[in-house]
Amino acid sequence: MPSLDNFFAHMNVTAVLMFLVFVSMTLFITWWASKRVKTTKDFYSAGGSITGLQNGLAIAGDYMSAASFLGISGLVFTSGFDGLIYSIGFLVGWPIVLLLIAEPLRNLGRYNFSDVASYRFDKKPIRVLAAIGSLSTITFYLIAQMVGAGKLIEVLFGLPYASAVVIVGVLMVAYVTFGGMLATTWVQVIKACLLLGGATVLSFLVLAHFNFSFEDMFTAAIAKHANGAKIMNPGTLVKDPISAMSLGLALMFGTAGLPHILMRFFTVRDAKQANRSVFYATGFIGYFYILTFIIGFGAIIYLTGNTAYVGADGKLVGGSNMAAVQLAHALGGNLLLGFISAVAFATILAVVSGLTLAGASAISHDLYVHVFLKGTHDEKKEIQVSRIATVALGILAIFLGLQFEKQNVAYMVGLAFAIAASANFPIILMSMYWPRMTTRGAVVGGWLGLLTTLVLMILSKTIWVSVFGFDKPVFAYEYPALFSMPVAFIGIWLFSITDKSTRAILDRDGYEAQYVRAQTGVGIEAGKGH
Amino acid sequence: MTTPVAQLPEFKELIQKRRAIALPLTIIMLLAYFGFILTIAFAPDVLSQKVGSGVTSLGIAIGFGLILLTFIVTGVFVHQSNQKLEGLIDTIHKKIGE
Repeated sequence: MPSLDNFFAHMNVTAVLMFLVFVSMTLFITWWASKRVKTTKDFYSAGGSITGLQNGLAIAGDYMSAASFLGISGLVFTSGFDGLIYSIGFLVGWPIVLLLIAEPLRNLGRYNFSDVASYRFDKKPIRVLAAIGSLSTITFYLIAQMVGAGKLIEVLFGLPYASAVVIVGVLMVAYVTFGGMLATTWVQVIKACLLLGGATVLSFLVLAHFNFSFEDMFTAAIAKHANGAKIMNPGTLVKDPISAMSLGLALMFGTAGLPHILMRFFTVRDAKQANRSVFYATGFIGYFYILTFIIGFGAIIYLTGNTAYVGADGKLVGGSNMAAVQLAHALGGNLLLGFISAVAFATILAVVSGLTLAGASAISHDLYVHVFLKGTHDEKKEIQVSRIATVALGILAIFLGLQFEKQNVAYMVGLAFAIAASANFPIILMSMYWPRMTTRGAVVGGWLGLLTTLVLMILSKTIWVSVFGFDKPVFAYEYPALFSMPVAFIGIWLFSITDKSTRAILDRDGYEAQYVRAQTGVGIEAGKGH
Repeated sequence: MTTPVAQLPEFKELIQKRRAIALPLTIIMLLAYFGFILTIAFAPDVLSQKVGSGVTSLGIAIGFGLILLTFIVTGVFVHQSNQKLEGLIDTIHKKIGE
């Protein structure tokens, strides 16, 4: 790709400098945080010292991933309105988290959602289920981020894809092992501010050209785009009603089952701060999605027809995910391009760190302490195990990032949401609000939801046809949530109401005490050792 | 020690008030979002209509409206919860001496 080399030859210095500034800044924070991480509470939840606003920014930082920034602006660039379907789906999950999950979650748990899901049940089987559900969700989310990061660095810095993936893996392990949640949170906060700032500048430059009239901007985009006025209408992204509903369900309820997001609620002082942080996060995320929409339209207007950015085949140089990055160059030259690419890279780095930390907590806190050690506590050992788990997850992420190089980033994130909505969300919601739920119901329903999702994903086109090479997919739709969510809920219901075991009596008797604590926070200090 | 809390009048009031705030907001959110998704699924042409005489489609207007609604719903809940629920929770904590 000679034109590509030519195009990026001049920006390397600026972009690399910006990138190095960010990385050294965040490594400094990690060093600072590492001196403050002494207990497991420090490591997983920053000692509960984060304020509502800081946590709101960190949540927004976790959520505004590469798939959001690069993927959605790229989707708007290619198909206009359809990009908005994803943004809205990602956003509407937040009120659900706030209205149903946030306070009980903060009041019942310490480090992760397994604490909450296993609160009144037999700890061991539920923790195993929650840990596997978490790890499955995290793996798919992680693959998407690693692929995005690899592609970005490959294009921007001219590094081979493989070395790019290795760099991301090594940096993320460094942040998490040494700095824990405190460093990860501050990296998220800084990155969220930079990303919001960068996206605001890009959108401002686009809108200023049209005297801040959306109508004029849309008119200019329609004139440029190959599909003309059709970019304003629902298009081909959602192929049939079943896929539309399935994607909608996964996006709306997946947020409430994302382990790395739920983990953030334990970094604040109390339920009130947890609520407040969701409010801030929703504001930042909503604002950000409006910006990505403007950036996508800006990309249509400024990049279409310019041979420096769009090849003869009508495709964007560097792939459709590069719309925001290319627009930065078109509007602000090498300086803005350097800034936006450094921010985009920082985004991915921060998100993979958060994901890895959540994965490490599932392995060390759930599997190692509560299952392997049967709950006997050795804080030093637990942090040690989670650091080893982090390194292992880093190696796994690098390996999978290399294997899945060709996969579509936005689609992979969609699958992570589908697992979260079908395996994690049902047990969290039902354990909080349904008194008659039992250990057996939770275990059977949870595993059914998880396995149904995974099996349907394997049988669908992406894996069955693209990876295994069969002619036709067994499962004709792209997203499984419309089928796997009901399976989980019905499984939980059926295997709870028919449960006549002695454990079931304990489970149901435990509901009142759990409900009181979930609603009021009474007993949090006394319940620390659970 | 948790059983007495469930008997407190403040606890019953808290549960009632929280439900009165959260339930309608949850229903509004579900109806608005799935209304949007089902329209995309079954009647996409509705969203292709133009708003007024310009080029902006109804779909884009509704989409921006949903983003705004999400923000309003979370804002209303946090405000109401601070106004009506926090005091009750504090009272409960004081009554049982925590």
